[in-house]
Order: sequence, then structure tokens, then C-alpha cells
Amino acid sequence: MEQERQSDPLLAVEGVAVQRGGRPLLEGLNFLVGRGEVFSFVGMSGCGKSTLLRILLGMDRPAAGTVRLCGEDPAELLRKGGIAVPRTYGVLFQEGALWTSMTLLENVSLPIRSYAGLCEEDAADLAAFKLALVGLAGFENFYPNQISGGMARRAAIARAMALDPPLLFFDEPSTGLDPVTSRQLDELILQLRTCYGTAVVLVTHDLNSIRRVSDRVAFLDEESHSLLQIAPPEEIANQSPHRVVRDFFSVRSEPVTEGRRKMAKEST
Amino acid sequence: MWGSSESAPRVRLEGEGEGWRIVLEGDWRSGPLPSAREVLREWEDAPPSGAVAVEIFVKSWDSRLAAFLLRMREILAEMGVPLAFSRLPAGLGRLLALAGKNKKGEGKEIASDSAQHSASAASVLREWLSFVGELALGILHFLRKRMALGDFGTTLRQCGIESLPTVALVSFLTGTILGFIGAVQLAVFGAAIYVADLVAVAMAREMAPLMTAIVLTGRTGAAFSATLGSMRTGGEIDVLTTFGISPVPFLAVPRILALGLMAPLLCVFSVFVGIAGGMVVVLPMFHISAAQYINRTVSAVGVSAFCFGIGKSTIFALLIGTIACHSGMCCERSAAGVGRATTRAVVCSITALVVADAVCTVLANRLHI
Repeated sequence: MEQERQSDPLLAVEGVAVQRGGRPLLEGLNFLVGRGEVFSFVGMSGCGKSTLLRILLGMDRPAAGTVRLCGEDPAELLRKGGIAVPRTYGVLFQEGALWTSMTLLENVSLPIRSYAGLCEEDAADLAAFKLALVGLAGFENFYPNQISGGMARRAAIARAMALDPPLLFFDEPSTGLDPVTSRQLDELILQLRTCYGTAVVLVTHDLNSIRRVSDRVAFLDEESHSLLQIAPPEEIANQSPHRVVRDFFSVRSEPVTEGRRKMAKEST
Repeated sequence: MWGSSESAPRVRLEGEGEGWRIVLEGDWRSGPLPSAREVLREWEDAPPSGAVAVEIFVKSWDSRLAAFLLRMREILAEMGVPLAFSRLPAGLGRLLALAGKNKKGEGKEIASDSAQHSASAASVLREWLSFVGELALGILHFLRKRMALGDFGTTLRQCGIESLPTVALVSFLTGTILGFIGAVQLAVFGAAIYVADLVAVAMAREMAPLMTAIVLTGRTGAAFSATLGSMRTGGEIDVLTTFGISPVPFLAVPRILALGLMAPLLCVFSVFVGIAGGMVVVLPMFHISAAQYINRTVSAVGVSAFCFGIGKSTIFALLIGTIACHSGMCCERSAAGVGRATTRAVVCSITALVVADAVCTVLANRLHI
């Protein structure tokens, strides 16, 4: 896997620096994401995860360094537009970001109609198939405001994989979802990976989700402005040499009662 | 000493030589609070030579006391005098420690960030030029039928049929106002019949295009801006980009073209309704027959005046559409940003309409249209 990742990475990040409004957030980022891999970013709020994601998608340029998506500069890819973009990657934005004036079927079929060269009917069939894959068969004619948050994420996943890209980016997919729906979403991610061999880059705060789906986890540290560690989820959670990483994972996973006891102890 | 009443918050500055003290007493939950700077003014000329201790004997307090103490510590630090807290009520010490934990200056950094984000005139101009360029290319693609119709049909309905009642009401009333004012003035000279000319020319050349444009600004322009602003805030425009679909041709072009198509039609409708409005006022006032009124109207409004109004209406529609779409697509990513974008769209559109109207009138005058 490592060898394949090195020789043929889907996403290659070299020496990337991330800034927000001229303020440095992250520096010297280097990592590769291989085919079929689920790679997650974690870090404190405000450490630059979402800004980094925008850079990986080509929506912003890095302050330094290079990003390559399937060997192409993503910013250049977006500038040119066209089918190359959805053929390279798909994105699940926070809360789905479905087009609210369109039905779920129209949401999924728009990229298909735009690029796949299919007639209206075939495009609709393909979109319905994608919706069925994510468990939304029968909801084709619903509008985004008529379905739940979990269903909206599923529909957005169907739209993101409309043209079967080899790489999917998920920005906080489980935010605002209950644990059961969140688990179902994770299972869906794993199924898609198995069926299509799709690589997934996940930006999330949900540590349970990371443990369930990730092959490797990258920890972004706001204090040192760096990528502190990349490791499999169990290793990074339990054996990290960095205290901030251990604290992050232990705080997030400790039981509620333990958290309350700790706060009560601190306040006395 | 600040504060005199027993129940009001009181501050006493004490000490000379080695022992400097600030004593706080009274009820710090109610009544007007002292300003820390005002209290410390008496030490401004001769600051304490050593550390100052704060002693608190207050009956009750809230967060304002904590804020007051922190402010006092800041002012004394400016004078080079350290402040030590003693005898703090339960909870107040923890509150001060918690407030002290948060790094000073972080907010300023963020504020300076937002200042950097605020667009300069040059960047606004660049943004506008890029938008107009994309728009021009989008229109070309649209005309070559190489692009999806997007919201063209919906927008046609929204700014066409759905605007009819408002345009009808506004135009009718404009016609009646013009008719009434004209009738009163022209009747003095015994030229009441020329009210028909006045209403017809004013409606065809000026009022119909302008009133239609104002209705479209408030109805459709604001809706464009709010819709596109919400789409930007909700990430829907970003999604389009990640599908390789340029948002300007996809979202703005159908809207602007639909508006450009419907506005002249609404203008024609407005002219007729306005003339009818004038007629409703004038006929009963001066006992003129409808046939006479219509004859005068037809002879007063030439084809060129009619076309001039329609042309102006198209220009106004393109202006409204462009300004509203630009405003929505470039709005800040927040609910307040959408509100600001909508306000900006309406204000800029109406200003642009008046300016464009003035330019058109001067040009028409020069070209003898």
C-alpha cells in the first residue's frame, strides 16, 4: 500500500503553507493519499482544516508549496472547469449544500446531464441509481427542505460521486447528526470505498467516525502550525509521542461522567 | 472616594508611602458603576510608588465588578504599578483567572484579519471586471445554445407574470397622478385635451421604464441577490465550482437574460395601463370623449418615443440583473452578509437607474429621438 501510494498518489501535498488573512495557520505540510485509502484530518477548531480543504480543492491557493490531484494542480483544474473536475474529485460540503431549488434527482442528475453525454431519461436513471446506492430510493422527487439532515448528506454523497471520481472529500460529514445516523454514514463511506475503490479525505471532529473508517489520521496542530503526526487511528490515539495528540483523543473519547467529575474537581 | 450612598458601589483610594490600597464597598449589582479611569484619575499626577492591593468588602457583585478590576489593573499597568487582589469574594478569583487565561490580542488579530479582508477600491473594480467578463462569455455561450437553461424559465415567470399586478397598480396610479397634475395646470390655459399628450409621452418615455425598473429592483433584484447570497452562504455555489460549472454563466446569465426579456414587455404593459390611468382621471373631469383622448394619445407618442422607452427598459433590466447577481454572488458568508448584499443590490440598482436614465435622456436630446 505504502509503495503504491508513493508511486501513484491520488493526492500529493508538498511543503504546503496555509494562511488565513495573512496569518499563518499551517506550514510545511507533506503527505500523500493513495487509491482506496480513507485519510482523515483532525485538529482543534480554527487550526486550519477547512482552509486546507479549500486549498486541496483548488478554491484557494496555498501560501507556499504544491498540491497535486491525480497529477494536476487543483486550482488550475478549477480554472479550466469542465468535466475534468468532477471526474477527478467529488465533495461533500458541510451539511450537504444541496441546491435547494432542485429535487434530489435533479441535484444528482445535473452533473450527469452536463457531462455524461446521456439523454435526459438515461441521466435521470443514472441519478436514481446513485440515490438508491445511498439508500434514498423513492425520495427522488423530494426537495432538500423536505428531508432530514442525514438524508441530505446521503444525497450530497450521491451527487459527489455522480461521475465516479476516484477521490471524495468529506467536510465534517457527521456534524449535527445523531450517533446512529452518523454510524450509518460511516458504513456508507466504507461500502463506497469497497465498491468503487474510491479514496476518501475526511475532515471531521467525530473521533468515533475516524476510528470506524480511517486508514490513517493526520493531526494538525494550531500551536506549532504543523502536521504533528500521521498514523493509523488506534496508533495515533493510544501511542502518540505528542501530548497534545493524546490529550485531544482522550478528551474526546472519555465518558460523560468522567468529564463531569474532572470539571468538578478542577472547580474546587 | 467614588459613590456616597450606602447601597451604591463605592471605591476608596487609600495610602501613602508603602501601603497603597483600593477598597471596594457597597452593592455592585445595582446602580451606576464607576469608570475605572475616572476613579484612578487622582493617582494620575502622583502614581503610587509601590504595588497596590485591592480589598473587596462588597455586599453583592456580578460580572461588572470583574470587568472593573481587570480594567483597573490595565490602567495601573500603564502607570507601571502592579495590582494585587486580596480578599476576593468566592468565585470572583476564579472568574478573573479564567478571563486572564484567554490570550490578550487574539481578538485584535482577528479584527485586523477582517480589516484585511475588507475590499479595497482596486479589488472591487477587479472583481467587477472579472464578473462582467464572465457574464459576457456566459451570454455568448447561452446564445450559442451551449449552456443549460438553468433557472431561465423560473425567472421568466418570477419577473414576468408574477410582477404584473404590482406593475399594473404602480403604473395605473402613476398615470392618474400625471393626469391629475397635468389637467389642473393645463386647464388654466384651456388646453385640457393636451393632458392625453402629457400622460402618453411621460409614460412612454420616462415613467413606464423607470417605474417598471423600480418594481423589478424591489421584487426581482432583491430576490436575485438574496437567493444567490444564500446559495453562497450555504456552499451551493462552491459545489457548482467543484463540478467544473462556472457559477456566473450558470446562475447569473439566465437570470439577467430573463429580466432583460421581460422588462420591455412589462414596460409596454405599463405604458398602456398608465395611459388608462390618466384617462380615468381626465375623462370625467373635462368631459372629453374616450375617442378624443385616444386620438390625442396616438398622435402624441411616435414610434421613436415608444422604442426609446422600451430600449431604456432593457438597459435598466440588464443593470438591475447585473448589480443584483454580482451583489449576491460576492456577499459575505453569513446571514447578515446576505442582508447587506440585498440592501446593496437595491440601493446600487436604484442609483444606477437614475444615473442611466439621466444619461439616456441627455443622449436622446442630443440625438433628437
